[in-house]
Amino acid sequence: MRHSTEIEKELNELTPGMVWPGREMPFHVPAGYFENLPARISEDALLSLNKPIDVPYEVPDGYFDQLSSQIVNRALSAAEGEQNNTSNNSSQEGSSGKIISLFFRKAMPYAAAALLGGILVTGAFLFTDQRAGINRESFSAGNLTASHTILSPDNELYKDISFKMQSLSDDEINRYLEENTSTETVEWQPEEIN
Amino acid sequence: MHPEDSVLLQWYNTSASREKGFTALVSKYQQPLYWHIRRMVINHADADDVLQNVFLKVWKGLANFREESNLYTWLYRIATNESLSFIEKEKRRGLVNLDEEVVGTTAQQQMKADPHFDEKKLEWKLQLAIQQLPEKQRVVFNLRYFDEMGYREMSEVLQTSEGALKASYHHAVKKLEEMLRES
Repeated sequence: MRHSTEIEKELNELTPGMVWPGREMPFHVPAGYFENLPARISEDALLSLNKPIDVPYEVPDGYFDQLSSQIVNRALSAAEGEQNNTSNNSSQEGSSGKIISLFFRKAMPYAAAALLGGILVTGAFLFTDQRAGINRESFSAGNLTASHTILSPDNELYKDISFKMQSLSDDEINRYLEENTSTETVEWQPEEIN
Repeated sequence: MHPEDSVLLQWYNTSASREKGFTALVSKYQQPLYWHIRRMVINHADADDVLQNVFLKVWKGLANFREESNLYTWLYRIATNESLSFIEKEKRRGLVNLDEEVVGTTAQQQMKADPHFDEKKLEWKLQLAIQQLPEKQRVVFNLRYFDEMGYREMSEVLQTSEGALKASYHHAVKKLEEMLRES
């Protein structure tokens, strides 16, 4: 079987002077193979349509024949039982299963997450507060030096100041405050106190 | 004389003539597809298995076949993919060596075991040489040389650009020329 002109031309251009064999195949095919093939393949194709799916499980005889009626009967008896339970609810309380609210079931994970979050936040707050407490303690009265002595009402200096304050008028006090109060921010250095 | 593809599809798409349409399709395409597969898998029994799988896939997929596509290239695409899948499975089973050169050697051994093998005949020499080509060049050469497929149709079958296919075919022809001249 020779090549078409197009293929021959292409081969001659690519390999000038080269002799190429024809298109026939040297392989052999069993006698009658192609004659029988269409019928055989069509048969297989049709069989593939009707071929049941292989399932390794077994089902009791007549299972599927009775299945639909069994399901309907069970559904009807369940509905009937529920109706009876509703009508006798007050007298038969506790006889039926415990009903859990759908909302409660859905909300449970969120409630647990919120609780856990609360514990973590509280723990973190207490931890940082404890550290802050240490700083506060360092500024307590006992730790202050003599230059920052706190005056108690029994102290003579306190009594003297109180006496002198009573003799001052409101205008004098306001004027003093206006003249001596600064709005500048003073950087607080705890080390200086200690 | 085989009916036109459009007639085959019309028969297949009518439930009363579906089997007739499919049988006619098999009759029309069995030989070109068989030889296309056989050139790749070499052995007749393997080619028969692959061909049956191809036609079963065609039977199942023909209902979804869009007529704007070319039935001929669609069939060749299925046959090519099935043949390459078969060769891949054989490789995984260890029946064919993973090395491409050794795959060729295995095919050559199968050919030499053929009772009709004649090493003096140019047709056999060509077949032995084709087995030494890389897989893609082998498929492209077979489709062009034996099936005389156009590059446009071949690009539909192999989902590759026409330029790349021409280059593959030219490389394959040059290599085969060299091998045949040496032998």
